[in-house]
Amino acid sequence: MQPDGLPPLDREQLIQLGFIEARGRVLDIAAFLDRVQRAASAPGVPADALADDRVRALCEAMRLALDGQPERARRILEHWSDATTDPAAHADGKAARGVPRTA
Amino acid sequence: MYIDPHVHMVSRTTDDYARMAVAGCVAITEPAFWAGFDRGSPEGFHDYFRQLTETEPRRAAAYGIRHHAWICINPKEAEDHAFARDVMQLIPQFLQRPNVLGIGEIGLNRNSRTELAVFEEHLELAARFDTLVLVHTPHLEDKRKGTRLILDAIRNQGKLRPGRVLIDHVEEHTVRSVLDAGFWAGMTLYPDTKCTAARAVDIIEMHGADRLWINSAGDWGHSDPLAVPKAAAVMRARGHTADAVRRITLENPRVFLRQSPNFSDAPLRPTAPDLGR
Repeated sequence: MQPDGLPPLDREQLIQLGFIEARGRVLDIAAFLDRVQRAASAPGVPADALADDRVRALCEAMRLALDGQPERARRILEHWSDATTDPAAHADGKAARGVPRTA
Repeated sequence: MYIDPHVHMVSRTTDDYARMAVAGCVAITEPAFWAGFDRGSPEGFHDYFRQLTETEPRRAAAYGIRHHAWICINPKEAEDHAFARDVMQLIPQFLQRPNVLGIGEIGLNRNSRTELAVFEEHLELAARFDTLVLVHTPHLEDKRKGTRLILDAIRNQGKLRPGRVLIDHVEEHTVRSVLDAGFWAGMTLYPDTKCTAARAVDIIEMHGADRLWINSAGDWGHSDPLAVPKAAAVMRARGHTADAVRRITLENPRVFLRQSPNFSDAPLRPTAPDLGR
């Protein structure tokens, strides 16, 4: 196995193998955004769906996915990463939320 | 034949053991972890460590699967430093048990100072008893920072050879730093978080198969104890050879785990189920 990033299958074969699944996932993301936009805002929360930093981070990630540059998955994960470097004073609960609060 | 080097069978049914055996699983390793609730006393951990070293090997053997364990207090229950130290005092007695491979899964969860201090104390234990180490890296937005803190802590301690440490749950943004530092890297196959099978195969294609394994980390949450053989099927569909699949799913875990004299994947005749009933 060569660590050169070259898959054993050619481009057409990979598209044949993965297109339907990827198509379904794109529709799921679109439907999620539709659902969020359709829903009423909770009291005291801005009406704009993009005001939620998690939804905004999702949309920013899609821009990275469409920029034509390689290593989209790595760059999206880095975009969604906590950029601080020092240990936290205390654990802020047990569960991470998916994107930093400042995203 | 395959090895699942990270699976939490205390959270799984006996039917899962049966399914894994049918799929070709010959050996598993089970790190100590957060079982979905905080244990209220060190005695609770003592009982859990007995489950990992007495009960689970029997359940696995019933299906011809060799069971191994890693012992520690996991980072999700390590925020109370005094409590964590009480639990850590229990660890040496369990390191002597015949199915124990080392310290794990230690690491960080929310990257707190106390988690880091407890992680460093575990590293000292591993050095003192010369054991292998299995390291959990944090979830989601905490993973990149936590992985950096973990790599720095191991380097700063300087007593552990990187080839005897596996850094688990790597993804596209952390795998390179782990491998470049000489450590082993684990990819966990989860449906929503961590790696899907397709992304794990991408990582193998992009970074090579050296010092890399895949695991299911099957537990009480969204997970699949058959994730390793299913990823093998994805590899084959993606045009990888039988040798390449065997390397990731069997040979690589074997090379790392055989550094412990307690590891074995020799054929085991299934015994009649003995579930203590």
